[in-house]
Amino acid sequence: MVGVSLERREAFARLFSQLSPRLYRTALGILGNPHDAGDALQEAGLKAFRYFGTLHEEEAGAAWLTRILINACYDQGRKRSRLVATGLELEREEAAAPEHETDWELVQAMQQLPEEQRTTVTLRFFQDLTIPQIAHVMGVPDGTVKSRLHTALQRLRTSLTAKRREGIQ
Amino acid sequence: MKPQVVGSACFRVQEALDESLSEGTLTLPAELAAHAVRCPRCGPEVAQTEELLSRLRGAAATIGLGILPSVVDHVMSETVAWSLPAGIRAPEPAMQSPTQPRTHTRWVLGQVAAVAAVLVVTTSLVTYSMLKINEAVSGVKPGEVLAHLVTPFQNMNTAELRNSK
Repeated sequence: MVGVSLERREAFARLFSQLSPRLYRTALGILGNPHDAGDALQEAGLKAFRYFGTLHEEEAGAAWLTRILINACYDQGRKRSRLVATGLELEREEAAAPEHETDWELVQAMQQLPEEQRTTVTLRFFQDLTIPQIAHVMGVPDGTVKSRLHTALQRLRTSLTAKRREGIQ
Repeated sequence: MKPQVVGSACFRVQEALDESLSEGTLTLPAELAAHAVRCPRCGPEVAQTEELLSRLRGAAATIGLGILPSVVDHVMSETVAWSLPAGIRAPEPAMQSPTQPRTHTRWVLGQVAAVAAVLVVTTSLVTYSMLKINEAVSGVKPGEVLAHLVTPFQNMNTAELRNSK
C-alpha cells in the first residue's frame, strides 16, 4: 500500500468516520459483544482501506463497507468459537460495557439465530436498510431476505416470549 | 382451538402478521386492530409481534458507542502509516551548508561551462578548416593569414606605446 494519495486517504477517512457508528452497531448485532464488535470494525476498516482503490463510486461505499464488515464479523465469530470458554468472558464483557440501557436480552437472543438470519435482522433494524438494500449487500434475492427475516423474527418472538414466561414463573 | 376460516378476521390478522415478519413492519387496518384487541387467539400474537418490532427498532439507538473513537483512531493512524513506504518516515527538509552552492545552481553552472567548451572547440575547428581551405585555393599558408590579420593590431599597439612615452 505504497503511494496512497492524500485525497484518497481523506476520502476513506470521511467515509469510514461517517459510517462507523452504524457499522459498529451492525457488528454488535451480529457478534453480541462490544469487544468483538470493535475488533471486527477495526479489521474491516483496515481491509477496506487496503482495497479502497477498487471502489470506483463513492455512493456505493456504504454497501461495500457493510459487506466487508459482515465478512469481518463472520471471521471474528469463527475465531471466538475456537476459543475455549473459561467462564471469565461474561465478567469481562459486562465490566467493559457500561451501556446498561442496551437491550442485552434482545442482543443475546439474536445470538441464538443462525449467522445469516442474525445478519439479516441486524441490517433491517440496526442499519434500517430496506429489503432490496439488504439483498444487495448480502448478494441474495429479495425473497431470500424476506424468508430469512420471517424465520428469524418468528424465532425471536418465541424465544423472548418463553423467557418472559420463565421470568414470571 | 378452532381452525381459521379463509377470509375471516383471524385469517386476515394471521396474513398481516406473516407479512410483518417478512417485512419487519406491522400495520393492521383499524378493523383488524379492533378484532385483535378482543380475540384471545390474535391478541397475544399481535402484542408479541408489536413488542418485538418495537424493541428491535429501539435497540440500535441504545447501543453505546464508547469504544468507537479508539477504534476509528486506530484505523486512521494505520492508514497514515500505510501511505508511506515501509521503513521510511515523512520527508524532513534537508540541511544545507552555507558554503556549498545549491544543487540547482551547480547544475546550471555545469550546463553553462559545457556549452562554452563546445562553442570554443567548434569555433577553433571551423577557423582551422577555413584556413586550410584558403591555403588550398590561394596557396597562402595559415600562419601568413594570421600574421596579416594580427599585424594591424601590433602596429596599433606599438603606436600607442610610442605616444605614451
